[in-house]
Amino acid sequence: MATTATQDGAAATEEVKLDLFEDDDEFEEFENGEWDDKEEEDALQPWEDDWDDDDVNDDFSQQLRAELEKNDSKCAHRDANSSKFGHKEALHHNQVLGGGAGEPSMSSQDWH
Amino acid sequence: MEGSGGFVDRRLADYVSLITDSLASQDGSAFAAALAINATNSYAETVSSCLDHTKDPARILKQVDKHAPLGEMLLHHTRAMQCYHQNRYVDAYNSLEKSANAFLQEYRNWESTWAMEALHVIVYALRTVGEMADREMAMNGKAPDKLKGAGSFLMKVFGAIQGKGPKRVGALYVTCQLFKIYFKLGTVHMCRSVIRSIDTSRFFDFEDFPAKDRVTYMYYTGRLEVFNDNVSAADRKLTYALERCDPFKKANIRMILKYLVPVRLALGVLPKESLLTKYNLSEYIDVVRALKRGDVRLLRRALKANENNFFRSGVYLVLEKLESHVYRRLLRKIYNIQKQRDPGRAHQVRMEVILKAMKWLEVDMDMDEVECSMAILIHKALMKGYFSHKSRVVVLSKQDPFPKLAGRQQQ
Repeated sequence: MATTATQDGAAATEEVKLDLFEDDDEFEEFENGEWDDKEEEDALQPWEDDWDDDDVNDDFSQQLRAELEKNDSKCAHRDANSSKFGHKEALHHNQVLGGGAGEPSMSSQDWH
Repeated sequence: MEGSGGFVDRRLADYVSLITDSLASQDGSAFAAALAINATNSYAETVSSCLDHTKDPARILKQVDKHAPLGEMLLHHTRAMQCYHQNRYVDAYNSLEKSANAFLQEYRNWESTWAMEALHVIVYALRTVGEMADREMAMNGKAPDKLKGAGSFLMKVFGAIQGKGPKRVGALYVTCQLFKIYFKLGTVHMCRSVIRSIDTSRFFDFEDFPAKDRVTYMYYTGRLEVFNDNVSAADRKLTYALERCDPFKKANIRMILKYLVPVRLALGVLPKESLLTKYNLSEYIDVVRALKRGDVRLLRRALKANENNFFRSGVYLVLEKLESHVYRRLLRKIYNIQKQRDPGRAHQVRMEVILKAMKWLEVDMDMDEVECSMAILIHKALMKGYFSHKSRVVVLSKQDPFPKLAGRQQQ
């Protein structure tokens, strides 16, 4: 096919072109013949529509509650010295984004 | 295979006898098996070696004309087999299309449907050999057009059998082969005309088609509904396919679920984690968790982590729209937390509390954007209540502030 010198380039083009030929989810052909519908109801059973409950005892809800209860008395205004605003993770995230030394990005937003 | 020319001639004659016998007894399976090119037990290799050494194949092949005028067809078809066996796919496709053309002209006149299986074998070969021919063309730096040609030809086949009459029963198979071609080429808009023909038929009940074709048809049309954001229709069709799919075809079940899961999430129905694990759909696990928790951060992470996968399959937009549902769940959690502390005032949720939660979840929003999100939730009837911009409070309805989701049309 291609010489060694141009092989990489040719292979890359080939890959790009072949990529265009694919449908990742092409259904497989069925062999002839019928099958028993009721064999495996597996894929039909495990769905739930009653998950939307009022339970707040899970981990996430507990963390949320703890978060909301922090600085409750001060929540009317932002304290610039407060570094406890949110998870350490969130702090790190803000810093990584270059949003200033842990200062919440909305500190300059209107609060009135 | 060197040797007496007579030996090779006899082998070719044997092949022809296979065909003439099947024609005489109207044995659909035998006829189909004789014509198959890229099946496991195909005669391609045998026929190919015969043609390599037979001096006058046409003379032998034309024997079939005593039973049915398929001599010319066989000439092209055996040539296609020879080219295929020699890995010359463009040549194979070209001969195959000539064979198919000759066969179709004759088949149109046959009243009975006994040879439908053979027609399907040819249709399948056109698509698969067309794909291989396109790859060959691409590798040789040419713009591929054989698969597209196969698509055009299959439309002709569809037209020939889809009208009134018993042959219509084979039309859904051809439709599904066309779907595979159009999806592969990325020309899915071309599915429209065959879909219209199947859906609006006055001559046929959809349920009269073979189950395997109905499942495949609903899978592809279900996918199209997902692309067009018709969530209810997608649910109906993909569920139909799921309920009737051969349970041993795990790969196909997985593909159906891959599209059905996001659709059902949009309708408020969640798959159990065991289902996702069983069918190797772990990319949805965090999405489901995020919905259950009300964890916007987790949803965004899950979408980001599987971005390419979701984009390629076309479910990204459906999943992205789930963010409203996650906000709703978060609000519900906040409401219930407040209820535990102070039941009398729980239905009043201060914006700054919501903002606090958003910040915790690394959602970069200001007060106005939070208000906007709340307004959207109310507008979509995901939440009942109103908000006071002046007091910066969401006032939830005291009765059923979070109406049940399940089964409702996604907005």
